[in-house]
Amino acid sequence: MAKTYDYLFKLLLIGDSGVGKTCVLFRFSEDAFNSTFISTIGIDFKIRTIDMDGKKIKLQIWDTAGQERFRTITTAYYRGAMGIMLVYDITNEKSFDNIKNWIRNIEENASADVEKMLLGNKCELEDRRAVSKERGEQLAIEYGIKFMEISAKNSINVEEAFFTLARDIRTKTEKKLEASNPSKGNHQLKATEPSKKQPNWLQRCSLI
Amino acid sequence: MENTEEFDVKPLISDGQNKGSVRCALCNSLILNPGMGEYRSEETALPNMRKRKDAECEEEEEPLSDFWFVRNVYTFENVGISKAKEGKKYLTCADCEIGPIGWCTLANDDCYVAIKRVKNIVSS
Repeated sequence: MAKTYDYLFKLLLIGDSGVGKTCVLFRFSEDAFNSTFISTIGIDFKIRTIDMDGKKIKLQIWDTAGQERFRTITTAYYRGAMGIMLVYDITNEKSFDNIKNWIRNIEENASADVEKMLLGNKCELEDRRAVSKERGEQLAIEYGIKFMEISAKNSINVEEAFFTLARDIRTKTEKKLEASNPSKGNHQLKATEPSKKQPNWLQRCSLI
Repeated sequence: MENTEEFDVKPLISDGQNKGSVRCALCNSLILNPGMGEYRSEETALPNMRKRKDAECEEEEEPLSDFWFVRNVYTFENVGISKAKEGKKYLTCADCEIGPIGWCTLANDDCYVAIKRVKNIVSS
C-alpha cells in the first residue's frame, strides 16, 4: 500500500499538571465525551493530519499523562521526539516559573536539535491573568524559541501553534536532508535568516 | 449508543473498501479517508461507549461484527490511541475522545474500526 503521508513528526506536550495540556488536544472541548472506559485506561497518543503546501503531515502527539507530577519525565518518553510544546497557564505564575525546569529536563533527556515552542494557555481568563504576555515573549526570546498565547477552551491559536511547530520541524528536516545530500553540489548548511537572538540555535547548528 | 437492529453494510463498501469517508458520529471529526479501510467481518466485543457520569460499576461489552481494517495508525487522518489493556489498545475520536470506536494491536499496526460506531459518509 502506498504511503499515505509525506512527513511524520513526533510531538510532545510538556508542562505542569493543570495547565490544560490534555485540553490542547481537544478541538472542541465542550464536546468532550468523557467515556468511562477510555478515561480509565487513558490515551497514549493522538494522530492528527495537517496539510502544508500540498504536503500531508502526520503529527503523532503525546501527552505526559500525569508523569509530570513527579517533576521529571523519563528519557523513554523523549525518544524520537522532534518537537515539544512547553505549556504554562497564564493564570498560574508557578507553572510559568517551572518552564525553566522543564527546559532543563528537555536538555538533559531529549535530542539536542528538538524544536521547541512556548505556549501560554487559558488566555481567555484575562481577569485572572498572573503572567503578562511580555514575560512570555521575553522568556521565549531568551531560549530562542517561538511563543504564542492560546486558549484551548475557545480554540484560539491552537491549530496555528501546531502548524507553526510542524513548519519549523519540516524546514529543519529539509535543511538536514539537503546538507546530507551531496548530489546537490557543495551545499553547506548555513543560516538563511540572520539569527539575532538565538544562542540555542547556534549551539544546535554546531552539532549538525 | 446501543443498537441491536441489523444494519446493512453493503452500501458502505466499494471494492472491499470504505466507499466514503469515516467521521466521528458525535463531533464529525474526520477519522479515515475513502478507500483507506478494508471491510472485515469478524466477531469482536468492545466495551460500551458510556459516559463517565452515567457509568455503572460493571463494564459491559457489545458484540460487533463489521469492521474497517486499517493497516497502521498513521493511515488515519485523526484518531486517538489508548494505553494498552489486556493485549489491546483502543481507538477514540481525536477531537471529542468518544470511544472505543475500535481497537488495534500493541504495535499500532493492525487497526479495526467498528463500522456501527462511526458515521460512514456515502454520497450517491
